[in-house]
Amino acid sequence: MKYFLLIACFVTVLMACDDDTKVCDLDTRTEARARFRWQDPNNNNVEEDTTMPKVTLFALNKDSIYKKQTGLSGMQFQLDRLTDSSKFYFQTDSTRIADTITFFYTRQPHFISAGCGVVMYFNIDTVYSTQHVIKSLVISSKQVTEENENTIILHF
Amino acid sequence: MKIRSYSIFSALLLCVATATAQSKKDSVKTVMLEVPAGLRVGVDLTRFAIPFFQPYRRDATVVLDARYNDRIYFAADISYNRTSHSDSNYTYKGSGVGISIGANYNLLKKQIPKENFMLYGGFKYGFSLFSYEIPSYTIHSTYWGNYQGSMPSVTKTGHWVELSLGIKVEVLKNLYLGWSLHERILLNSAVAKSDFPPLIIPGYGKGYKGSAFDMQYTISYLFPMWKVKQQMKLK
Repeated sequence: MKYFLLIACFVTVLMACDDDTKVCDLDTRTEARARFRWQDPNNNNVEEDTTMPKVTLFALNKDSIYKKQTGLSGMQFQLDRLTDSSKFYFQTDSTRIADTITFFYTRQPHFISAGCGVVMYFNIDTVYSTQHVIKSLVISSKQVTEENENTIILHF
Repeated sequence: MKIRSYSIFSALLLCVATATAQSKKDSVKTVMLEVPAGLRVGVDLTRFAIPFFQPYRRDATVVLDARYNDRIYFAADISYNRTSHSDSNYTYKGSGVGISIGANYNLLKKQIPKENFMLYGGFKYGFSLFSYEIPSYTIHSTYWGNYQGSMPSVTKTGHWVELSLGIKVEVLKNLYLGWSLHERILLNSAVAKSDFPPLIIPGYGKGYKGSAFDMQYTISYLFPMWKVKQQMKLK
């Protein structure tokens, strides 16, 4: 027992002396998440998760985040850290009309650890989308942090 | 006859044993002595080793205690910290002072007049005044581009309570060596949970954590100034 206590003390002292600036052991991604839902006509219009055949997503005038990616039931993407809004081109299938999704938010830099430094938190004000394929959009969490919670639900 | 002899022998043994115990008890005398006491001033040597483990830190801690009576010592630690860090994510500058005040309770019963050992538990309240800034930081993003910002200098205070356990040994006349373990709990933990918490709170430790564990290894000198009465058991 006394050896266990001695070892515990020794390890705790070593941890107290640790150089935390050298190690980043946290997930530093602060990304918005979207989930796809639809009302299944074959199941009494019960709402359930769904997958899209060929998803394309990119911020306007930027490279693709997803390019004709098959079998997605949701998306994960970064919001613009430099401005208070982000606009995305979103297509569920290459044969269907694309929608645009626009996020408005406030940004809050946040120091997460000595090793990881600063990340950007977002507080969502509003989200708009065109309704070519998307039927409706619901904000499920207004905070975008490294917790990776679902931000919006897209209904089809 | 045999049983009778055995009973007498047992009774004699019991009498001898009782008498011996009584004489031992009588030989331990409790006396009140006046022993030198005063202000003990020292430094924490571990603070000089910290830059080897945490190169961004420079610390100094002066430890003080003054004996109040047989068991109780009033104690204080005065700390200074300067922090400077730079990497690809951010640069940081901070400095400040801290003081913790409380008392130590000597758990050892003194039995030898010239013995000056101490095994103690202590409780302190700590306060710190410090300022820090983040002159530049970068939030990296390969998709949107990097965001660069800064946080101007702010001055804040830290409050904590501290529990300690340690020993002090007189190695030469009035010269003491000692080590101790400290657990500190931050009372205004909003500082640690803020968007830009300090890297170091002087006297407390890592400023982005709600509790901090620490160790001290001290060398100190006793300046005898007064005397206190001490109960002593002499054999």
